Amino acid sequence: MSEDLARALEAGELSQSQLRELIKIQADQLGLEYEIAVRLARRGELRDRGPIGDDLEFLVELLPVAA
Amino acid sequence: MPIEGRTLTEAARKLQDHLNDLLVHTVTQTRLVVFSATGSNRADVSFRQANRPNPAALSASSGRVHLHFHQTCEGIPINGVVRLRTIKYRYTLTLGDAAEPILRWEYEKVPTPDKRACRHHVHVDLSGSPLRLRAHIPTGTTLVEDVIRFCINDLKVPHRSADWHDRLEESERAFKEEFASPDDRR
Repeated sequence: MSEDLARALEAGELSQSQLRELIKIQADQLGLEYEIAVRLARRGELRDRGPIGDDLEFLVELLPVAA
Repeated sequence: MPIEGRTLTEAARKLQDHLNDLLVHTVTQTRLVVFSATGSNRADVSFRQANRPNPAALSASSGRVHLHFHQTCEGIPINGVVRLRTIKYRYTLTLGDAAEPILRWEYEKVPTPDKRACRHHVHVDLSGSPLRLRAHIPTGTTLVEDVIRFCINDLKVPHRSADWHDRLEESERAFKEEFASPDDRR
């Protein structure tokens, strides 16, 4: 995780690129490409029902709809 | 009065502070973290440590359980302030190091078009029962207070203060009478 992202999380305000970085971290942990992870999360079709999949699904809620 | 602030972050931090105070006096010192993203009117509230989800480990009579809390709030500008409303929540309980939770209380204000389960439900795996299904059992609005009460009363998680019950009652009353907007009750 970049220092910028760590500071932004601490401050409670992420830029969209930092949000995407965070989503990519979780997607990587599930072995998914970013775009696929976002698509599955939006459909509620992530196979992982543990904390990482859960986190990914909720992080995607903060993306603009078209992203 | 619903939860409001000058900004989305300020309003979300009020919710965060309220819930963290409740949690630390009932079942866990693990703290909820809140953040928003630029260009979005939504905030995420969850147990988190840096970039990782960090469910609260609780000692139940049957062994260790993990409580996870996740909520997406939306900030609605009204009369110069931002009013918070919940658009999605998920509270889960996972036994020990199991990969999946045994119980999931969920709500989605706007479910994806092909999902037709009740908006407020508890998800229970009944695949080992004669019903052979993963059921979305209808509930009303499930408050985090309800889940905390379940942890203490049914799972025998030790409470962290003598007045835990009064605190839950007061928090529940505040949610229903002060915090909730009409939308939160549907």
